[in-house]
Amino acid sequence: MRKFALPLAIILSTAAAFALLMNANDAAAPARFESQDDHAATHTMGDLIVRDVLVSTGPGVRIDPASLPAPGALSDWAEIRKVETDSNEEQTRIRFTYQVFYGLRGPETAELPPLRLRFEGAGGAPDVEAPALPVSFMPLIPPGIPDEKVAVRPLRPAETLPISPYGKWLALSLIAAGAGLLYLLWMRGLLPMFAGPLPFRRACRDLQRAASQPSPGQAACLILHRALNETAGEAIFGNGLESFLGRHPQFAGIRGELDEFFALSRRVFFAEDADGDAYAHCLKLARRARLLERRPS
Amino acid sequence: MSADLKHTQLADWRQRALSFEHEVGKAVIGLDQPIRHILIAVFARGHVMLEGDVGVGKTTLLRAVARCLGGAYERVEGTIDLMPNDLVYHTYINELGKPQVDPGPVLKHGEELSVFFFNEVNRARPQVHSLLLRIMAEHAVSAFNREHFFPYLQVFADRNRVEKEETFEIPSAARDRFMMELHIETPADPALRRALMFDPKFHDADRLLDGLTPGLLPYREIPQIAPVIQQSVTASETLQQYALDLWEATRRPADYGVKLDGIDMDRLILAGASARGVSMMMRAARVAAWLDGREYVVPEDIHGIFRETIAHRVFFNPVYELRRTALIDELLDGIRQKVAAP
Repeated sequence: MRKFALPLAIILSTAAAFALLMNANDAAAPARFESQDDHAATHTMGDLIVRDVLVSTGPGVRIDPASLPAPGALSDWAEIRKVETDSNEEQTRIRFTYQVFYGLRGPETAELPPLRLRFEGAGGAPDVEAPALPVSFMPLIPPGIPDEKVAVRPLRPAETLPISPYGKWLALSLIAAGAGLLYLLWMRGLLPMFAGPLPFRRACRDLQRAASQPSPGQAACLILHRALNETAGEAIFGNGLESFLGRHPQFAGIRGELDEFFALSRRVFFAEDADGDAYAHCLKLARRARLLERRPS
Repeated sequence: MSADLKHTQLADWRQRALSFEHEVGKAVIGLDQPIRHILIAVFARGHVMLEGDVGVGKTTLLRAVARCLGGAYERVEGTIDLMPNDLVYHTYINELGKPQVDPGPVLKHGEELSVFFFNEVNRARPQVHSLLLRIMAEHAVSAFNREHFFPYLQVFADRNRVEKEETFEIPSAARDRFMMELHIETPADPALRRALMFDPKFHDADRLLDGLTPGLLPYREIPQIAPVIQQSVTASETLQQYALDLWEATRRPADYGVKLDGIDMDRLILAGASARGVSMMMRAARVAAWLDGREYVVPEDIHGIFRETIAHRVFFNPVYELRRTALIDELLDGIRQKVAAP
């Protein structure tokens, strides 16, 4: 028994070393390779072909980005549009998107070239080769149609972009612009509906309140003066009445009353006479003027 | 003096004043406003500066005023070599070969001097302006070791606005002594222009003036009646507030919403009207009210003399001073339009 011990140990150790070596190679080498080619039986010129290469890898193994083909022309009739990778601990998915330009007049067959992918990891890893991908092309122009009868397909309509992300900002911008416009119009007095009551309309309202004041006549004259000044856009005095009526001819019909008002105001404010029936006169004049006033055109 | 007597006296004086105005208007046509302003200045005891082009009737107007006013009249021509002493005394060698000193134009008539006309005052040197300033302010001058008083004196000065060479701009303090600055313009009415050109009456100023009734106003009594007018014509609380607002607006027009095209209103005014200026404005406004037959001042009285009493008292920053002629009228019009009363 003793004489079989040494050969047995050698055999066992060799077997163990072989097993370890095999395990190590198993960890480095792709456990599975799949090519999931999303291609139809035939393609036509301009088609996009998506090819997925799924490589089973072990932990710590990753694809060498330098081994991936760069997007661009691949041959006279094919180009790579996009290369995407998606890796996890167990596998790496590489998605190639090709665009092909072949098969104008008759059916054709061609091959997308094979891909050689390199992996990096502990203990090294063998390269993985995805085989060439045969592609069949259906002719773009059906056979038997002469060139002059070939109808050019209309241009593809522009792609519709979603505007929903911009809708909120667009609405806010429109609201802000509208508010700004309204403000400008209001500042320039171009919004008569927001300009408040006309001067004499407001004067009539204020005169109602002035009736209870200690000197209603004086207060009434003051209210009417303010209405006149506001209408004219400047301070109006008795000697400026003609000029005022020239600019506001709608009041020409009450010229006499206005003259009387200025004479009355002069007595009340400057001769310091009693205001007497000034209130009644002002109220009557304000009501007449209210009927005549209109917004500036 | 009773109220009735005062009322009658003022009414009599008003008739005289209007007669005076009418009479002066016979000699100079198309100058109704300046004649009214001079009349106001006479009764407000203020001095007057006239400014205008050559040959528009400034001298004739003043000679007519002097004739109808009565009293002594003296006239001096402003020249670059005129010295203050030339106004006070005159030295020469008399017929006996001895040096003699006679009173100059200011002293010649003693206190009877009622109108002193300084023609082309801006040609005289600042020393002369200083003497004039004192005569205007104090109605007095020192000479020959004593004070000479001129209780009835009214100074009129003329400034030629065309020529600027060899002239001395009158300092603001001196300008402030003038109650009014009047702009005399050629009449715009074609009929009046035709009369000035073709009516022989206006070709001989001396004969024209000789035809005026002299001494229509008893000039010796004007210093007594002037304060009566000021006391009799009232300014209500509202009017006083209005005048105050006008004064404030000459200092800070932007606060009253006065805007001039292309002008930074915050930088326009260097100095607004002086207290003396607005006091003179109100004196003139009271006289205007009296001449209009009222015993109270109204805003229109102020409007009538606003430009004449205030324009030369508002000073612009140097950057705007060169455009003064255009800007001052716009400014004062803007103030009148923006300041309300009541």
